[in-house]
Amino acid sequence: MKRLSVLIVDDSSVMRKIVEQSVRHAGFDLDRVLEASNGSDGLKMARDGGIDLILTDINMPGMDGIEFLRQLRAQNGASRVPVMMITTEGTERRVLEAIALGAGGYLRKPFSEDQVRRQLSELLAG
Amino acid sequence: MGAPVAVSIVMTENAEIVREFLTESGEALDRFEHELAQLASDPASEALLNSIFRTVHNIKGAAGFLGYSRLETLTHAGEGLLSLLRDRKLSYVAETGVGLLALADALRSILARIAATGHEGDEPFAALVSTLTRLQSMVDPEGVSNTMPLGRLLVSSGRATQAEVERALKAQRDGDTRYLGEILIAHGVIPPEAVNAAIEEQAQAEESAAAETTVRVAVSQLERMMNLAQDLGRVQRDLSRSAAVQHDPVVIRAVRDLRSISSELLDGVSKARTQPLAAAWSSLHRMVRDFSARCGKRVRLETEGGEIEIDKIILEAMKDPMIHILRNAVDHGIETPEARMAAGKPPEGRVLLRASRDRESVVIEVVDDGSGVSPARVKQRAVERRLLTAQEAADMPDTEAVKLIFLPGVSTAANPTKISGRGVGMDVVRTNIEKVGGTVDMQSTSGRGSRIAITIPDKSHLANSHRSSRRPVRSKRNHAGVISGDSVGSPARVEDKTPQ
Repeated sequence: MKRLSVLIVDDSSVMRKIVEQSVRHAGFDLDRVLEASNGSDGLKMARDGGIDLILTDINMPGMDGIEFLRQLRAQNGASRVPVMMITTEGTERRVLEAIALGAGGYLRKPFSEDQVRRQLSELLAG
Repeated sequence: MGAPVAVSIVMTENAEIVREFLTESGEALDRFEHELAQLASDPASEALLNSIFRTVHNIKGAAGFLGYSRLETLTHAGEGLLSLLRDRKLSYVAETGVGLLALADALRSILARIAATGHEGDEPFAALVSTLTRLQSMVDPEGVSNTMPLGRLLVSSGRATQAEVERALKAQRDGDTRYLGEILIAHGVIPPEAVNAAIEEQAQAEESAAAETTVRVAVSQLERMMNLAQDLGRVQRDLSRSAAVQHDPVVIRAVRDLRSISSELLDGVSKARTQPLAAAWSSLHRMVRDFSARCGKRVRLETEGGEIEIDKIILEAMKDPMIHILRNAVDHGIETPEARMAAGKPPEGRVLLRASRDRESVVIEVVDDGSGVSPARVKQRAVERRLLTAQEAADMPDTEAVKLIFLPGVSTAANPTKISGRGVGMDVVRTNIEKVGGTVDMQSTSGRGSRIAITIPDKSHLANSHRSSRRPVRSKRNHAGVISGDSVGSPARVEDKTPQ
């Protein structure tokens, strides 16, 4: 399988590490991992291109995951990158919003390796 | 809550993540305490509430992965309380602050234990969890007004300094039970007039905030939303069937969420569709007053049951018929004051508009104490219009005859008045009522008055029973015993077997 460049957007650095590790443990080979702690930084990184997959939290200070997705989709170049939302209980409404904006799926914390494997395989298969 | 499988992800190489977790959480708790102190003087600050919420939320999220279940339970209780505060469903009170500070202390002690031993320990913090849970039950029924607190208002208007307000707030925290304004006056910071002016401003802000909470929505828009909400419910049902087949817990959970969201949405839209009758009736008082003055009559309109809520679409459809019936009552029913006195009635006529609920319908009556409908006149008109033969008219009982006014051409006055003219007849009123599924009936006693009763289905009730509405595919199949052409896209339609 292709080595992936991923962008992880989450305001918690612990969460970013956990997400990264979950993706690795689920069997994905990561080439490059970019981290952003909010939507606007994420957008800047996505703009540079070369990203195969974005995993983003929904609830973040400043630009949240939904606005990040909205602007990402409007941005040339990165608009087709598959996006997986990271959610928690109680954010179902926002998940629907994200799906409507073109998010490819979501993982609800705490997720299992198995869920990550399945969801990401599906998302990346397109 | 808490999928145990998740733990395995990080158990093997979690040392680095745990270190990071302890550092990040420690820093977040410093910020949390600082923000909590600010919140006491500015309990409505959205930025503060969001940030405080996020701290607890992030600790909970990581705790779930790292297998710290006590930490997760504790943060879960805190998160619940904070989400209510953030969503303005709960007012911040001193006790809330105390509870949240205790939460911070408990979180710190657990983090310290993890740092020292690698384990979170087994102290259950049961009392704290129950306090945080109890604080959540103090939900305001009406939500919290989002007006500026007095302290902030005084500072922003330059009447007091931040330090002066904080000193007063500290006094409150230390047990001074007086209002903030009183303390500031006692401290000699501001004169009583300044407090009064600020309270006045606060009240005005509250008023305009209340005004902003309602918006006008076109009935057609509501109808569309209702249909979309019902469509969403159908999509959810289709999805839940395939989710059940696939046994995918993630999809099953998502579908379950979708179900509760779509049903909540449908309820919300249905509720948005109803309005009390009084809302439509309020303009009728003025109409009756003006209209009776122009007819040279004295009429008092009384209403009962205006609090009954009905579907706005029906309310809208009833507007013209109601105006018509009332005009008729004033123009043709109620007599002039002289004629009334001559008949031994009080000079002022009375029209009663009364609504009542009868199982699944609402009955609206218009009762007047006017001259009533003359059965002989109505029969004569019907015969002239060739709706009846003279013999049929002669055989018809008076109670039936008065209902002839709902036939075309009968009610239009033989001698049209200047005011209501020949106008629209009662047949049009009947047609309009029937269009929304209602019926209309009339009773009248010559010389004593009339009673018109409109019965309309309570559609707001129907709207709530969405499971039975707008499901043509199922009903077609059930009636015909075969799957109709419409259902090609979803041949496996069966009764809901969705896992709960």
